[in-house]
Amino acid sequence: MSKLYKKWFFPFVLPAFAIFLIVVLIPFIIGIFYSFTGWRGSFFMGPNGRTTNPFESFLGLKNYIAAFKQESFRSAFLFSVKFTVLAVIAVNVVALAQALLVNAIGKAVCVFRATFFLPNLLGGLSLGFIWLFIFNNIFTKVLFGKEGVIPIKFLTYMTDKDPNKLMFAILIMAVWQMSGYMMVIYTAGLANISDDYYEAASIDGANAFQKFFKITIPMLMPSFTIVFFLVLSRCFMLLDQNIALTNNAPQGYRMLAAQVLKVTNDTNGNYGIAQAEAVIFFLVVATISITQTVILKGKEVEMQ
Amino acid sequence: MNNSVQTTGQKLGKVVMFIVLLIMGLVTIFPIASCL
Repeated sequence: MSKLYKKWFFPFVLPAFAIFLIVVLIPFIIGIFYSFTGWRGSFFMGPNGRTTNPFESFLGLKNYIAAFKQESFRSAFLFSVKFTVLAVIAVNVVALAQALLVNAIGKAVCVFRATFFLPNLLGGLSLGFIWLFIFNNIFTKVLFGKEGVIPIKFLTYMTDKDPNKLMFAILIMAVWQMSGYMMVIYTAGLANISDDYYEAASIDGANAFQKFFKITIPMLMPSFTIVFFLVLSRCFMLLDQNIALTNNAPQGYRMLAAQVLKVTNDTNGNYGIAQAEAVIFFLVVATISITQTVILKGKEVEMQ
Repeated sequence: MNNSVQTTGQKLGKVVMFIVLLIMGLVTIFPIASCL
């Protein structure tokens, strides 16, 4: 078996690795290089004008400094961080509640699981437009408007000129979409916890809260690690829903990914700055994700 | 855990949980259903 494995390992891995190299790795490295130059899409802009030699237009960290000086980049960064923190908490609470409830009921489990998972099957932009319709028509006119069922001013015109309302709108959408997927991960985690622990705890006189905090939560730590990582990276990279809801128009309402996409337009096709912002974006997401994974990994319970 | 004998409180708890799940399910389905 091992001999066969050794013989066929490289022929089977090579095509996938070649595609990964050509489509992901090499463009990524070239992209990092472009972020230090005056790249304009088809030529480089050096101190002496147009050039085809990238080293003549080498700018050092100027693109990065220009990126940080942009007000729109700073506001998008802040908006993304705030949104991600709130979304990680909200998605986890809802997903865990769904998983615990489905687990406790034990009836019609498949129906509930399928229902909660359904929003994941919808694509980003279409999902954004569905929610745009709901926020502008159903929320504003039918449910929470002046003549609606329950008049709540905050829940009307959520995609208009208030960043807080918009953030809450995207939060509703993110929780609605992601919680089902995360619920499936939590359900798998819950299924792995042996009933013996709960039985032993019951004999020792533990109540439901003690069982939850002393058994369920520690035993679910591997699931927490995966879910935190997934929600964190997905929220930071949220693009299409944000664009669908805001039509990508006002500054200060954009997520970081939408901002990186928009910046080329704002700076007259200066792709060097856009690339610098993309690299900063990558570094932020990678740093936060790795830090979080390392911290949570340390808290995982070792199964004997 | 012995599930064969349930107190009235436990049964009531399950009914409440089922209703909460049902509401959550309806809220999840609502955006998709509203577009039909």
